[in-house]
Amino acid sequence: MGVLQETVFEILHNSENVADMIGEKMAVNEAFHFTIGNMRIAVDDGIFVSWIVIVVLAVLAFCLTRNLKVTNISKRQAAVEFVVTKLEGIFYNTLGEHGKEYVPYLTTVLLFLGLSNIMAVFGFKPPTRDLNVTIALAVMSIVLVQAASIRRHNVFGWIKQFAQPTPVVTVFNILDIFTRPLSLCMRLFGNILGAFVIMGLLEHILPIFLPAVFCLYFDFFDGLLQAYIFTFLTGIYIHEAIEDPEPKEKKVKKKKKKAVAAETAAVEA
Amino acid sequence: MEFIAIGAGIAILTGAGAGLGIGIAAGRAAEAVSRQPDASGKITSILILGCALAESTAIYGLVIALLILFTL
Amino acid sequence: MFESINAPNIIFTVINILILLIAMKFFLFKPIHKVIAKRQQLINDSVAEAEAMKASVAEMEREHRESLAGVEEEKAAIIKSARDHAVHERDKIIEEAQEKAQAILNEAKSEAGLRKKEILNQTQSEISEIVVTAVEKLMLQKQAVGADDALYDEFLTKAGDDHDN
Repeated sequence: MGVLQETVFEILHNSENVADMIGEKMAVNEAFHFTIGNMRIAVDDGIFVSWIVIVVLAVLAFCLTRNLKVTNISKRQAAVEFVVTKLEGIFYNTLGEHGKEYVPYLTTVLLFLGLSNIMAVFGFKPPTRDLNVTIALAVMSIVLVQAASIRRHNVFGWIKQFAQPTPVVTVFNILDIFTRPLSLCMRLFGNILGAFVIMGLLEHILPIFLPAVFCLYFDFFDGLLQAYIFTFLTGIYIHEAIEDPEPKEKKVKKKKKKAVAAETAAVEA
Repeated sequence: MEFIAIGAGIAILTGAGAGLGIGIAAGRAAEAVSRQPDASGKITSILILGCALAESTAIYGLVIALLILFTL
Repeated sequence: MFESINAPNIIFTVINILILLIAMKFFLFKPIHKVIAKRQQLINDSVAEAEAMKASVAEMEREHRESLAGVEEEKAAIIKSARDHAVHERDKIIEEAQEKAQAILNEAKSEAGLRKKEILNQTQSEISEIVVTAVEKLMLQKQAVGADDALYDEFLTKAGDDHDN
């Protein structure tokens, strides 16, 4: 009881430090800036870390795909092929047959988010902690969904799709353009920021043991899961936008009723 | 000063809905696994997906609470 | 926290992700897709080859079986005809042999008879020669000795007897 009381006392007395620390963790610092003309453009540290992520991914991809052979492949190549096939397989299932072109983009975003959410383990601040990054990702996703819909059906079809399945929900469909990316962005941002702040708190309490244990859950599991959910939801939105509208329900219902009636008559007879 | 704290406290109440929803989902998942133990892998992945989606409302509340506490 | 949103950073992030997309597509997806497609092509080719080979083997087997059936028939027919021919030949040969044997027998018989006659003739001639030679010898002897007075007496007596009678 003595130790616990002392710890709580310490935390309560260090509350200003905790507030400062959390404030610092949540604030976005500037990494460097450059001036173009008379505009001062500041590059945040989130952008800087995402550059690092891109370089790491590109170098990895380059190193792992040297000397590819068709048969009698090495273990490294088998592992790389397995990973790529598995990742793409997720999206092939979700997107259906018309969405094959969007799979590389989704896989790339998955890899980027997966690596950048884990950056806290390596000592960097994860770039998705920055609201700019998540807003950029969400805007790209929504632009992609609408572009896919326009590409598949023409502009008229795109406008008509807002009236599906019934014209009553047109307003909600139009609102969906704005709320869906907002929810995607906020989900990702909130999860990563929350995990980051809690990890900071844990480090403040007990710098040695606790962070390593909880790091497994907060950083790895949460980060990867959020990355997967972001891309998976984008894939589902694309699938919804691409797929052809179903035939009218009245005729389908009548046919179904007739078929069911015929079946029951045949079974009873 | 105090009302900010009360506001943050109210904002975090959204966690109740998330806890309820995820608890119900986990219970249904356990029931489904008990009916068909072969499909437990698929059921687990669907459960994880549902939990992450349901937790977003709680996360929205957390974000608002942090906003209130540290920037207002 | 909302005051840190600024447009240039957002644009930077968008550009970053586009650069990453191009890099990934070039470094990661293209080679791996190429390898997988090539391997699939290889497998398809070998499967098609195996199928073609199986089809041709089935065809060959069918032809083989057909020709075997035909060959069986031919074999049976050939054997039957050969057997008939052999039987026929055998009969013919036996007949000929019999005839020949008969002819030889006849010939032999006739030749034997002829030979007998010939030998008889020869013997007779030899015997008469011998008798003539013996008689000549006796006559010579008799002339030298006159030993056959008795024979003359005898002969005369006999002749006289015969004459008296």
